[in-house]
Amino acid sequence: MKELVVVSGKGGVGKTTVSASLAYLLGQRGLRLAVADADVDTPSLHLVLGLELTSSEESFLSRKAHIDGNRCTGCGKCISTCPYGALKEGPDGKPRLSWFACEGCGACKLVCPEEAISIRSAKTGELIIGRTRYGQPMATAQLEIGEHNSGLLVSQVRIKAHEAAVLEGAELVLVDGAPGIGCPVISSLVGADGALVVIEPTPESLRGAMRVLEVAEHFGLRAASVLNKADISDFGPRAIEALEEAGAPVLAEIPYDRAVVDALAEERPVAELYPASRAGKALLELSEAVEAFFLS
Amino acid sequence: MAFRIAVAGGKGGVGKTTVAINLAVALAGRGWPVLLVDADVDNPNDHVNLGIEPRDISDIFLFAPRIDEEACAMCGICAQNCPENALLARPGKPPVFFEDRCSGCRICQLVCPNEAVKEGSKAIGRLFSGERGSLKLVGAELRPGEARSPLVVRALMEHVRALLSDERLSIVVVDCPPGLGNTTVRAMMGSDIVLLITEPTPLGLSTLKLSTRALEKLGLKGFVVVNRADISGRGLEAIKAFLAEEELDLLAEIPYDEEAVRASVRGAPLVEVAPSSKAGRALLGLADAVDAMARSAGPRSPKA
Repeated sequence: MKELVVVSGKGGVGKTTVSASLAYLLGQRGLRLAVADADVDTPSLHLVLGLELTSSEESFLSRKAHIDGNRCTGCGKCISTCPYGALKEGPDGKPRLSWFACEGCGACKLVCPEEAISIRSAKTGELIIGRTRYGQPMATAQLEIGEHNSGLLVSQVRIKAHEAAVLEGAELVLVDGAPGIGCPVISSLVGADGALVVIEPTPESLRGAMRVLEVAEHFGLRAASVLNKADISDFGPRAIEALEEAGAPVLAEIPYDRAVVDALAEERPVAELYPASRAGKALLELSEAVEAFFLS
Repeated sequence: MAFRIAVAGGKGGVGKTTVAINLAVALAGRGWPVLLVDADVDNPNDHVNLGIEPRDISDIFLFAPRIDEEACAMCGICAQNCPENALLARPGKPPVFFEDRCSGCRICQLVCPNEAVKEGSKAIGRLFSGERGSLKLVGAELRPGEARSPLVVRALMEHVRALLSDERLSIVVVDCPPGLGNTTVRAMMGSDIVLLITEPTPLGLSTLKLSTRALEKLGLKGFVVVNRADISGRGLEAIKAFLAEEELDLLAEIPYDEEAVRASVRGAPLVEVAPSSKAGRALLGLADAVDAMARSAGPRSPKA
């Protein structure tokens, strides 16, 4: 079984559009696959692939300090110790916790002479398991607002997708990644086989692609890329050259096409709804190239 | 106190950077001393779009333990207490340190009975700055392979606080990262208003709903900007229906405009190179609205 992660560095270049159509097209060709949405901050793949919910569970992977105001004497040791600046002195001289700054490391608890501090689990997010309207098992999640540990939640999403994939004898786990190159992206790339980098023909998208390629290479993934909205500028050829040089050959060029927006408005993969559109045809070509590049 | 505007929106690629740089340039053009903060530390691009060559200010360091092997009693207490399992105890030997896992919490240093954990550090990113007329840019960049974007934003916002205390900057525009996790929340906190940028698609609407919930939770005041507003009539209607329900103000509708793409490829802000283009006019209209808000915020104005 292979695992392919769709990433981009820069957001909004078309990861979900590409992932949804790939899932649909590969499935149509008889490939067994499971899908996962690793953009746990703002998941959206389920909107396009449809999700019939099988189960959901709350995920408590985070830790936060809890201060017992009755025991606390206001000595301030925790405030000066907290490595993240999450504790500030309140009007009563006792520490106040900034929820979003606390990483739950427990340094405050260690130094508190009154045993007034405990470290408690906190909700990281919701883990959601189901099936796409095309029958493929799917795992997704919703991170709590402002939460750390998106990477841990991404790991859980991947584990759930893998479990489902093994049960169904799937050959591929297709992961729609998060934008950026930080925690959730690293967590989606570690141990995966391939990275498909989506870019649009702008310098900032190319910069993002180069940064995420650096991370993918660091973790030993095989990489390829796809140029989306290929004709919105004349920057395409320069981007293609740079990507080829960086070891991520461009498998297809998808033109800017109203059909993509129209399909999105219908909450369907463009490859399903408008297969004869220019974007639809390019996505078909991409799906064949992805199969040849990553799965053969 | 400077008037602080966060440009956010949850979903990636909806136009946060386009809005942030054009707003900053337009306001600077009206005489406001503007600080633009590029807090999209995973992928900072404001300088690229402004055609600025940034200068490095400093690296951003995180504490990392350095084990003094002479002093180490090989007791393993540091490894037992490390919340990230970044230290591995070995019988009869000093612990092995896995730098990748370390979060810099210093617990190893706190618990070591022999003061064998000395100060070390690792760079997780860097701070940079640049100028463009009366516009000042500061930003930070996460080092590829590092995971701790929130701590890079923390360092950036501390730098911004220091800048604001000794420079007369009246307007701060923060270009936030995508998502609604810790990194984004840190970039938004302390803002007077948050511009939520969205696009008229189900993905845009879904993320706008999440962003609205986030602002409620954080007690921040949001205004909505729909980018590429004309790509889907149905999508725009759906967003407007949601805004009416939530009593949220729509501050601007920016049409899809290839001029915007060209400006981005050239590394020049649209409000300067094509102010009379469709998107350019909408962005200038947005700057008018924000200008008025900054003025009515009173004592923050530059002359006060």
